[in-house]
Amino acid sequence: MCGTEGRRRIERAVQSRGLDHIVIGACSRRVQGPTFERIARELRLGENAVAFANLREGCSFVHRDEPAKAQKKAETILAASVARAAQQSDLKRSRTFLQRSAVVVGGGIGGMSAAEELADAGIEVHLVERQQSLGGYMARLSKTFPTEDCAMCSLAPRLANAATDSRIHVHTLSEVTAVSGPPGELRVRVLHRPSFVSERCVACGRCTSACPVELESDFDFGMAKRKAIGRPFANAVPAGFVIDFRGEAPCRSACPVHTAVQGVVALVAQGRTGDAYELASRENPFPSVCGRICPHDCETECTRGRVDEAVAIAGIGRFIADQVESAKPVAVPTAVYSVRAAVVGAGPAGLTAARELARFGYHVTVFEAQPEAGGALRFVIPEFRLPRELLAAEVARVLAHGVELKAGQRCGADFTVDSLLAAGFQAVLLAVGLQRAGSVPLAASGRPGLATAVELLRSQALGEPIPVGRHVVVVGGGDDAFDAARTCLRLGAESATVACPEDAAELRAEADLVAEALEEGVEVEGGLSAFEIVGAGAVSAVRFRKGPAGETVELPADCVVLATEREIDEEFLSGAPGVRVVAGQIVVDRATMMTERPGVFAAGDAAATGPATPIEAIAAGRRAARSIHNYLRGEDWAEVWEPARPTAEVADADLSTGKPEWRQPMPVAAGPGRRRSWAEVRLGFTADDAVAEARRCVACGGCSECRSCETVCPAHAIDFDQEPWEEELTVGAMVIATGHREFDARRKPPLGYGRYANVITQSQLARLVSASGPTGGELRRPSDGAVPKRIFMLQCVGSRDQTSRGNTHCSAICCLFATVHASLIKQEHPDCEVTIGYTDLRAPGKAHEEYYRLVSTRGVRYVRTRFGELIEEPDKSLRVRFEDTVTGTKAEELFDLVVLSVGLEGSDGTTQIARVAGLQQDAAGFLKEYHPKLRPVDSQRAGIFLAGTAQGPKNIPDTIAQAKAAAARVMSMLSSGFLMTPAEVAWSDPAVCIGCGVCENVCPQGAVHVVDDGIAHAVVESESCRGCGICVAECPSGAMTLGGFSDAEILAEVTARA
Amino acid sequence: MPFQTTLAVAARNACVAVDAGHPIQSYLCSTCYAINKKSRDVLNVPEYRRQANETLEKIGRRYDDRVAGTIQHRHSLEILWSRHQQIPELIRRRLSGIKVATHPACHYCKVFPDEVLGDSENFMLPEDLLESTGIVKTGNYAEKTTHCGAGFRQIFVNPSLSLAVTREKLKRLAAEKIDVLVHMCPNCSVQFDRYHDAISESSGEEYPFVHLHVQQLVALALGADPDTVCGVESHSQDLEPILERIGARPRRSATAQAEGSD
Repeated sequence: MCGTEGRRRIERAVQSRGLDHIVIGACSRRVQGPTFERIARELRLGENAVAFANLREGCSFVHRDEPAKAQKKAETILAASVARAAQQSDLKRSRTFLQRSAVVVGGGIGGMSAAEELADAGIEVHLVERQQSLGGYMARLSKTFPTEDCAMCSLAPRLANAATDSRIHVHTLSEVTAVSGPPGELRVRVLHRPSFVSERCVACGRCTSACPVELESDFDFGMAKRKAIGRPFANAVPAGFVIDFRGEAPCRSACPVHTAVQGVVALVAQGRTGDAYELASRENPFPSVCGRICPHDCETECTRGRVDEAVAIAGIGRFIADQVESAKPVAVPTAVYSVRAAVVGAGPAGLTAARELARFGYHVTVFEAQPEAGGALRFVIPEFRLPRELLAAEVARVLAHGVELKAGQRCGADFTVDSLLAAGFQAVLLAVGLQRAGSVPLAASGRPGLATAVELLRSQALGEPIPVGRHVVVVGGGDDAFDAARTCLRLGAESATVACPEDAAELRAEADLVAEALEEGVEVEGGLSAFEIVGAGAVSAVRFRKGPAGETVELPADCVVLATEREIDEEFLSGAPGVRVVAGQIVVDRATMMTERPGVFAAGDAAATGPATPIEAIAAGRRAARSIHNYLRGEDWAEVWEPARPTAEVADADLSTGKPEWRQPMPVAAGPGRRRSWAEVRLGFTADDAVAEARRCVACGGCSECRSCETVCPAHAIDFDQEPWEEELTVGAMVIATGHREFDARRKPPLGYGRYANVITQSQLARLVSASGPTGGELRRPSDGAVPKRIFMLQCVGSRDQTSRGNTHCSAICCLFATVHASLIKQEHPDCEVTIGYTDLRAPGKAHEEYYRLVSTRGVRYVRTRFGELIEEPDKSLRVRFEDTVTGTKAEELFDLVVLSVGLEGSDGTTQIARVAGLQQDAAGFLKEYHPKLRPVDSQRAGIFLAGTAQGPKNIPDTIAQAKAAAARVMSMLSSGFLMTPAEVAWSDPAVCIGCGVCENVCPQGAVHVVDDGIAHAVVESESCRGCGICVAECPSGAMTLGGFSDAEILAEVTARA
Repeated sequence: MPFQTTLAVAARNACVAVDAGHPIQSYLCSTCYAINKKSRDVLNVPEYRRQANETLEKIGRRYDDRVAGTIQHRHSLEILWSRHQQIPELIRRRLSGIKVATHPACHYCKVFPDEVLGDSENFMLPEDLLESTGIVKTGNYAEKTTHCGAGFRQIFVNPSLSLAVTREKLKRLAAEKIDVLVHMCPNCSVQFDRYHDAISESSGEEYPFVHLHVQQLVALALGADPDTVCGVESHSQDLEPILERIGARPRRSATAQAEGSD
């Protein structure tokens, strides 16, 4: 009936009998709909005058064995369809006007071919590619079958064309995030990720040389390293460099001052200690603090910790801090403002704020009560933990920023806030710290043999004489307690005991500190709450309550040190009217750090935003400086807390599972002399240790933000301020050419991929035999760089695989992918034996079988194989056990290199576009076509077409052919000028609809929207609707109807069948 | 055993299980699992089912669609796995630091590869099951899928071949520095346990680890008595050191000291 003769018979019947409907008893509408609908249109019947009685799937296919009954069933189906046709109401179709433009998603050979074809036809094309450059998979290949021509040679002209054709708009580092609208007027949202390099880039490559970060090269399938800035290959389009920034490294996120930790580590790994110091001191004026007294949360978060052990960041930080002498002298900032700011307190918070303000361009004066700057770093932390010279050098660097220090000036006694403001300071920062020991209800101080830890440590730091006695008991369990106990030992005490209420295993003090103290002979008594100090006059013992029963324990002592929490010394308040202290903290606005008195700020331990550690004090100093800057400039009174940035995330699978490399141990001073020595206890890494340790970093953030590139770029093209942005393109059609990904051979652990160095994939081999590859085309096995003499290629890895770990389909290209590599190797290394272990050899493409025959004459050994075992020998060669399934014999052979021909699967980009465009994927992730045979380049959604390996495994010529077919489909659609919407579309009755939005959620085409014009109700965009009927079935109110599927029609059909 | 006899016994077992209201047949032995499960497929062939029922008629039983549709064949490991979420709270003895490798039973992994729980080529269920006890997993190792060497009569008719395979496996496992190899089939257990020391002696190689059925190791972790429940005395290998290590026996050194002080 679908031929010319059938058409004539239909015409005659309609005209002679005056029919108004045609019922086709044949196959499905999907297959033959357009043919008969055209006839109906030409006969001027209604838009839905054709009905289909599917006798093929519904009857003849399933009842082959019972022809008589099948005949009867067919008659019933036909009768029912006729009954239904009689009930059909007339449907309307409307026109959509078409944009003469298209989006091509995926910039591989498929996407580029489609784009080129469309541009040639005069259609504007947006070519959207996720990666940095166009080129896709093909750019990474060596030579291609069956002609053995160089992949890049055939690709480069396409790349150049895409770059220069004015009708092709290339969007790299971009992805489609939403698709809506009808075919002909698709609204495509595109997210552009920043390259952090502006168009000024001249691709000179200096940044790449300067970049200290080494990453696995995706382009080389991990066979080589690359830098965090660069471009994958010389012909890349666009030509500009890109910084691979994957998010803030977790070490940086964890650091209170957001030190670019990964950058510091990377620079140390390159031996660039001076640069590392400079980078470390960019956010933090006291890098020495980092390596010594910081609780190093960075190490807790370190990604390397998920592999074996975290990188010893503190050790590295300390190493660079020790090189402060080698750092470049401070560049004195120019004072851009004539405004003066005062900082009260020269501790870590005050000095940091002073340096930041000086960098902003203010004149800063720091007032310090003690005779020297440094605060807690100088007067609480003992010398054997933080050497005085080092601190002095770093304080000097702060002062070198043009900061003026006035030591020995006490707020309240020597000056007041009012006097400062009167003297012309426009802002005052109170960073007075916690100066006093917290009071304890034990006994009044001033008793001989009784001291507080703060007093003791400060007296020691000032060089004042301290009588410590012979047996010291320190009450308290924090860092100060241990510092005090160790200081007492150094001052000549015979024993020092730390007694604290916590359990000895759960001390508040940092673990390393406790361990060192124990090594020096400090004793720890946990679970003790002191309640009485014994002794008439001089102390003789301390009494404690122990355990829940409260039994009394007495520790004899001639010196008792109370290491209570430090507290604010409110003396300064007399000089700071209008500032309040509540609950031991200066009251400040949390967002701005300003006290209740305008122009007066507070930061550090004493403020209500108060930190607990020096590193947090430094962070607070930075915030205070920004806030003061905002205040002085009268700028937006915004939050001054640094916004959290997205942290780089690394999947476990991407972390190497090779042998663990443990961190370098921190050398510690040993020997009996240590407990009496003021020299530093932790000795620090040697340069070699530091470099070795730094190399353990997995560079999880990609770019480490060290900004080395910025320093060397002659074009000033580096732009870290770039942000991602989105745009919406309205186009007529889309071509999806998002390609494939390779089966991850780690999913088949017996093959040893990822564990054995000399097990690689065909793609990795492609890089090894490619002239532009990491070895310059020299075949070298990864373990030792030797030229392999015996190579085994295992086919069908993850393909034709019935197990749960593999895919069932044949990946189509692998037999010849292996063959071309075998051929190249035989030509270069005729003595190298290449064995291809195949399941079945499949070479159905044009000239493919001939090519396989040719290569087999070059001495490549093809063995029909069932794989058994693969074992790595001590010399890293591989023992492979397999069955020759032609002869039925078993073999065990030794190979130097095993190459896995891994199969193809739908790429991540394919999954992404499927999700946002409502396309279906098959089990292996490939996109489903509208009809596998008749409409192989049409997707399930009108106006979206498929090309290349996004649709299924295929080789390069087939990809190009399909891409051009997809382009032709776009052209035929767009050149008609307008589009008739389908007749059988859903529509919602506004009188019944309750506007619940269920339809909107279930529509796979995104064609239904709930609008609110007084009453919320659903509206179907009939141009986009494909008549699937899901919304009709889901509609709870019965408002949704599908044209051609009204209740009357369905009831008529069902009744006729009954 | 004649094929028909195997089928009839399998059909009878299934009938008994279903009639008794216990339609899941569970096996410690992977071969029993495979034979019974395979028989269920074969018994779907009308002719074989007819033959089996001819025999069953003599004992008044009938293998019909009801039995075929109800009976389930499960390795005991699968039964354990079905409750694996409860294991952490039931642990009485931590196996911290004990490195465990799996010997995947051929008749479990290779007869019905599609129906294996997990990866038939890198079977991990025993190690996953024991994860919460603090074991160190071995994962994949060279020759993991190689069989134990027993091969039923092979150990008797071809002992040198049989033991060569066992030795190969022991060598690979020694390189992995494991403490315990767990099995899921008594035949493997017996082969490894009985010949471990003999192979070590004749080859002069050290294999410093022991063999346990996964059920035994799980039971030990859950606090079972090594003698009355786990039957460790049936082993040829000396299990005392590992039992001591996991706290299933008092520390010998401590005991020795106590004795010395007496």
